[in-house]
Order: sequence, then C-alpha cells, then structure tokens
Amino acid sequence: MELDPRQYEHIANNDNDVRNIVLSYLVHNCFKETAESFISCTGMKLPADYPVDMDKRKPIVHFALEGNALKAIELTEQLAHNLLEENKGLHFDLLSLHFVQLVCSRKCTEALEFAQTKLTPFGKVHKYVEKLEDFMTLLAYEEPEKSPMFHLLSLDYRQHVADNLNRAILAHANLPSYSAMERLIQQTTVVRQYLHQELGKANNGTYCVYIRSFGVIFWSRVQYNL
Amino acid sequence: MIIDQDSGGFSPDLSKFSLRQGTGDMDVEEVEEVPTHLNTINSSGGFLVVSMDKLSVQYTSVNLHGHDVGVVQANCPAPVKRLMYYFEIFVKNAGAKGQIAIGFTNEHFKMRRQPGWEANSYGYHGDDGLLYRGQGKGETFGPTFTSGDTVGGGINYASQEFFFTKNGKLVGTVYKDVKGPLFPTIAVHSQNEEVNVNFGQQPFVFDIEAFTLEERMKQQMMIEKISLPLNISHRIVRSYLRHYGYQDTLNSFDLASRSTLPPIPVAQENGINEQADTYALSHRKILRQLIRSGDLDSVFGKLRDWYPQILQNESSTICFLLHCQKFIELVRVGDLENAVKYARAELARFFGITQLPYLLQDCIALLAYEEPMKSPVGYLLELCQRELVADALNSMVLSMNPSMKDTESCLQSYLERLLRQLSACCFERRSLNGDQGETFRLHRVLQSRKEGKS
Repeated sequence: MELDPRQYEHIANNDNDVRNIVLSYLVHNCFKETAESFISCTGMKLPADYPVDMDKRKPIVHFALEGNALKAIELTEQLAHNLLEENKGLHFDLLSLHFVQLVCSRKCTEALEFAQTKLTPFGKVHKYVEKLEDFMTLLAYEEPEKSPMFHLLSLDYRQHVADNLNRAILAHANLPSYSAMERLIQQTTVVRQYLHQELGKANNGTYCVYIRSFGVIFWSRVQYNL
Repeated sequence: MIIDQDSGGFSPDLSKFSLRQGTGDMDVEEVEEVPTHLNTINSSGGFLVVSMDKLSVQYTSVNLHGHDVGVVQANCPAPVKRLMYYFEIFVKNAGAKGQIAIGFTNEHFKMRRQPGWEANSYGYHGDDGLLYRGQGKGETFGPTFTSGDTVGGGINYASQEFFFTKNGKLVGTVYKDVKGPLFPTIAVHSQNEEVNVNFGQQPFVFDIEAFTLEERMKQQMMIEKISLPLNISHRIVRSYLRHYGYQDTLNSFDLASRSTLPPIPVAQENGINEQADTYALSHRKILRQLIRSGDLDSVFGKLRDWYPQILQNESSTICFLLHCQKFIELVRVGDLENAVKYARAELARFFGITQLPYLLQDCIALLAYEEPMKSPVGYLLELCQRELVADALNSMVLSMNPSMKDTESCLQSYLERLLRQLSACCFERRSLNGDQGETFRLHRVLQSRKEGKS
C-alpha cells in the first residue's frame, strides 16, 4: 500500500489556521504574555473568541493546583457566578482538596468537622457516596500517605481537579473547553490507529514503517511499540 | 531529499512557498449532483407511470409475475462527499397487494425487478417488512408498511451502512457491500399502488439532522477518549516557536512554564531534535524582524556577514524572493523611480529561469497601478507576503546547520507535519471507504469548534 508523502505535498496548511492552533494552546493554559508576544511577533489577527480573562483564570487554577481550594472556590464564585452550583461534581472535588490539605497538615478534628459539614451533604446523591468513603478512609490512618487512598494526596489528583476547573470556567464563558491542539492530536491518533488496524491486517504491519518516515517520530515511538 | 538545482547542492525546495498564498478557506470543492426527481428515461416504462413533476409513480400494469415490477431510479446517484444521504417516500395508496419497495440500486439494475432481488441492489419491502440485498430471499428487518406511511432510505458513509426509517423512527441498518455509485430507487408492483417521493425539497418526517449529529457525536466521542502523552502540546508549541525563530515569544513561554505547577521540563526531549530547532535562533529572529519592518538592505547586510553562502548563487530562489521583497518595499513607499532601477538591476535576470514566474509578473505589475494596494496584485503589499519571505529565509538558515539531517524539517515545524499527516491519514481512511464520506478540511474543523464549543 502506497502512502507516499510526496503525494500529499500539495496539502498546504493555511498559516493562520496553524497559528490559531498554537494560540489555542496558549490561551487554554493562561499563557497570557506569551500569547500576546506570539500575536505581535507573527502579526496574526486576533481571533474573535480571544478570551479576556486569562488574568483571572490563571490564579484560580494555580490555587487549585497548590491545594488551596477555598481560595480557588472564592475566586471562581467571583468570576463565574453559579458555575459551582451547576457543576456539583467539580464543587465536591474542590472541597475534597481542602479536606486533603487538612488531613496532610494533621489537623484531623478540623478535617472531620469540615467533612461532616461540607462533604457529607453530597452523600445524598448516590454517585458521591463512594468518593466520600474514599476520602474518609484517609482519616483512619495515622500516616495517610500509606493508606490505599494515597493517590488522593498526590499532585496528579490536584492536577486533574485543576484541569476540570479550567475546562468548566472556559465552558461557562462559552469557549471551547479543549484546545484545538489537543483535539487535533487526539484526532490524528484515532485515524492512525484506524489505519494501522485496517492496513496492518493487509500488510502485516509494514504500514507502520511508513508512518515513521512521514515524521513525528518521537510520538510514534511512544504510541506504537512496534 | 530534494536537491535544489538553483544552488547546486543540498537545500530545501523553496518553490513550496508559492503554495502558501493568502488566508481563507482553500477548499473549492466541486459541487456534487444531488437527486432531485425520478428518472423517466430508464424506468420500467410499461409498468408504471411517473407524474409530470417526476416525484410520484403509479403502477399501471397487472401484476402477473416477478418481472413486471414498476421500478424507477432517481435522476442521479446519491452524492458521496458527505456524512449521510437520505430520501423518503410517502405511500399514497398501497393498492391491491402493497408490494412497494424503497432502496438503492446500481446503474446496471434490471428495471423490471424489485430492488434487492438482483445483485448490487438493496430494498426494504412494504408487504413483508423484509430487507432484500441481492438474493431472492429476504431477511427479517422491520415492520411492513402501507398506505399513509412515510418510509425513508439512507446511506451512512461513515459506517458504510444503509439505514431505513418508518414514520420518523429508525427501523434498522444493514452493511453496504456495494462501493460504487448507487441510485435511490422505488418500486411499485400491484394494481393502484401509488407512491410520492421526497428528495429533500420538502422537510423530512425523520429527523435526519439529529441522526447525522448523533453519528458525528459518536466519532467525536472516539476522539475525546484518547489520552495524550504528558506535555505533548507544550513540546509541540515550543518546537513551533523555535522553528520559526520567535525568540521573544519562546523566552516568555519558557519563563511562564517554569512557574507552572508542575514545572514543565525544558530539558532534552526524546526524539525532537532540539539542536536542529535552536540553531541560529537569535539570527533567525533578527532576520525575521528586519523583513517584517521592510528593511531588506539590512537583511542583505546581515546575510553577507553571517551566511554568505545563501547569497552565493545569485539566481537562487531565496535571492529571488529577497530581491522581490525589496522591490515591493520600494513600491510601498512610492519610490517608483528606484523601484524600476532595482527591477532592471536585480529582477530582470530572473525572467524565464525562476521557479516562481507568477511572483515576478505580479511584482512588475505593481508598477502599473496608481494605487497598488487596491489592485489585483495588492496582496503583495500585505503582511503575509513578508511572512512568506521571512519563513523561506528561516528555512534556508536552518538548512545551514551542519548537523541537520533532512530538508523536510527545515521547511515545516512538527506541528505542520502533524497536521499534514492528519490530512493524509483522513484522506487514506476515506479512500478505504471507496472515497465516500466527508473530506477532512482543517479550516472547517477549526470553524466548527467555534460553533460547537467542543
């Protein structure tokens, strides 16, 4: 099967589209100065949906990442009124970050009190019960880092919650909650996997050799251990 | 690797830059023909009559056997360059036996048989609710249908399936083996049967829009499930900035990245050739700034100091692009006398030898207009022309890197190669489906994001 790259040389990318994709990443992750520098260095047009509140969104996400959930919640309420009411799952996750912070600072009585006043009300809805139980488990251990729920204390978990918060704020402002960059990379993966499956069946995987030569080598090594 | 004959050596093929013109949607797709009425020319004339408006049929014969079916196709095959195609029939009168069928047939279909009774045809039959697809025997498929029912038939190119509906509800789907063009087909086979057809001129009873959206959502879900390697977007953005020499932006980006949580490592990454991208970063940045400010004299000056090899072959494409740009800048400030002198000195020699003849022509044409900005060649005075020249020079400088391994990486950043790969893979996927289905157009995808907010 031939997939000669020279056949696709005529596929010209619109420069403005490519720059918009780069910009979408910068904007999604609140790289405000970088975005401004990029726009002026390239002389590109400002897209119609260029967000104006990166300054406000950035500290919110940062606080969430640090584990300072109460501050993140306060600022979120200011920036996007009703957002947390409309996203109960997210609200719960943020409150749980504060709970985790209390547990880590060994303020167990405070943690218990906080959980009882703020977290247990969520337990009325079935899907939060399991989560609630997971968090309460942390209290049962003198060294929560050694409990089976230790991952709830990790930066990864905070990152996950912070990401969701970022996406929710963007969605609330009627902006895409995933950057074009992410979506296009995902889409490329899906199509490549499909072709790998369909063509690999026919060619015993020789197609994969082609994919490497077309570029993006670093990525195909990660994706396909062939 | 492409050898640029101009400079007699190993260098990127700059004629590519002639393709990157202008902004806006570059897809001028041919408009496909869409069925609008029934084909009276090749229908089984003796057995049915088609109305004046060619949108309804009535069976006129006496149903005696299996070869006197009143079958008729649409005037052209279903269009394929889209996600789905759909049409509907309304059974005005089920007649004596209700032997009405709706389906798809190819161009060689025997126009006396029910769709589905012959190879390469598919039909959903009203009298027994069975689906026929090329054999005499039908398969259980759905309910029967009769007078007053609206039945629809469609093709889902993404899943390569037919689907049928009755009174607004989906009845079922069946895999489509036939890959060639297919005609929407209807048939009547007993006395007094009468059917109206709707090719979209009237609103459909079935919510085809919602169905199409569902299919799109399915595809979207598959995309959204993919988890990405850590920081991949960050790496791609960084590589883009390095490639094009946007040093200030890069510095700002690196500074900001240090204070993110967790800090994104800017260290040597697996596979992306950091060295190649960072080569001569500050030189490239300066050259780009000079071109953007229109100071081509300084550009030539710097090149003589830093990379005289680039200017060595005076007939090379890069020299041509730079001289054209200088000429354009002279026209821009209205210094036409010097512009003409410059053209004679530096541009004339390119006649007949340049790989970009259109550019030479258009540049000279600028002289003909009192207000060149408003002329058909006014695009040359726009910022994007400067960017184009800056990008070409950028590629040339990158190719000067002694440790560089391939010209391809000089011409486009990783991001652009990724996007081309995406286009190529979508193209390939589509061709596996017999070239059916929507074509991938990056611009369209980006536009629909703004509308769909995904």
